[in-house]
Amino acid sequence: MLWLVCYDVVDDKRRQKLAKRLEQYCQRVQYSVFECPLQTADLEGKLERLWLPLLNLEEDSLRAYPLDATAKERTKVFGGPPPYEPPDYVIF
Amino acid sequence: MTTLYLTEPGTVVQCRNQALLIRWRNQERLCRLSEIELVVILPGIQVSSGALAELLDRGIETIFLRADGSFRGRLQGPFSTYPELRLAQYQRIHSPWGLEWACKIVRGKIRNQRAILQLRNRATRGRIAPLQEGIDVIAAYLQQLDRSVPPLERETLMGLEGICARTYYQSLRHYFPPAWKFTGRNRQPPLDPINALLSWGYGVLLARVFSAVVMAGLDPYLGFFHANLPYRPNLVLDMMEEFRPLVVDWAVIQVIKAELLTPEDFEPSPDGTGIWLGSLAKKLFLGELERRFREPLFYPPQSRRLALSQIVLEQARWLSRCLISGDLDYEAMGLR
Repeated sequence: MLWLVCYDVVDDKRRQKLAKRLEQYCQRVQYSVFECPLQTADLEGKLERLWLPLLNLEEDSLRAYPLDATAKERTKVFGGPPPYEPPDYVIF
Repeated sequence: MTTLYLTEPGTVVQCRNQALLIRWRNQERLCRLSEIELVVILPGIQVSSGALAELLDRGIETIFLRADGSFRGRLQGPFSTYPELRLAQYQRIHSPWGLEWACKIVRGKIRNQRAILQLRNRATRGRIAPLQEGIDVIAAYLQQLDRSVPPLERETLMGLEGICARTYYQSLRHYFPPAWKFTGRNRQPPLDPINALLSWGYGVLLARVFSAVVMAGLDPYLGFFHANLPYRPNLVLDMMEEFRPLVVDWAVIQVIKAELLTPEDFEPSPDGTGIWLGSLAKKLFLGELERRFREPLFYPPQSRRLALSQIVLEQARWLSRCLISGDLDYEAMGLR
């Protein structure tokens, strides 16, 4: 499953830290928008243990929208690469 | 999940923010560790201790190959063992059970070799007489193998396998344009580009079968068909047999058919005795092999389509189940 994760974080330090953690599992597609190829349970675990503890939910917010296969296909993208999919192989 | 091949000597690999940062000259690339399934490392790659630690801790299969594509070794983090299975494997080593399994393996391999030749024969509408002849010779030996009721002695089996292999490789030349000068199998070192590709492919296959065998809880060094030579992963060599034609020979045929390579993409080995793949040939061929490993094929034991790399693992698990239960319903994966 692909998730669309986006956030609004007021404090610079918190925002940078969250972005860095999101990058471990997600592909950054815009400044505060990430695409994340994780199973639901996996995502919930990451949210609970890694991502949400960084935020102050009084003033920050984070949202994760599921993009199933059909949603992913119907997604419209203007500029930038198509919805993220981990590569099958990388030969460097 | 991603397979990462590191081929360029001088590449530096470090761990950064739960990703591998790969740098070579002025190129740079990130691969998220959470997405990596397998890493294949060729000589001349510098992997930092931080990156090694992450690979070990996450149990990401990491394989090292030599410059000629042969298997050098692999990283092994903590792994679960299954003593019952090991014992079963050791107990059956000199038993008729072991021989019978060896027969099944050899039969599967020879059948797949014949199937590869038949594909060519059909494409050329049987016009190449020596090819048809090779197919018939192999069929005759297959029948002999099928008819022998008590499993053959290992020496007989090895002899049979050897004759079929020679016939097969000689017949395989009808797949390749004459410019490739392929006449049959040679190795250590390979003397022509096709043999270089075959050797390379078998190296990569060995590495992947090795990890499947370990994942299935088997001892890779104790085989039933190959003589149990020290330092050689004999069971891995056994398990590879059915997949050699299916994966490697197939990929070599495809890469030559697609005219992706010319003989100029190969170079003499440093000591001048053999032929090696150049940098481009290496990358193109690895890509072809990887595509083949990912190809979904119908897997009869489970009546569903699985990627070939998954089928390799399922076959190893099947052998494990057979060893534990004592039944021998194992069947080699066939080319269909």
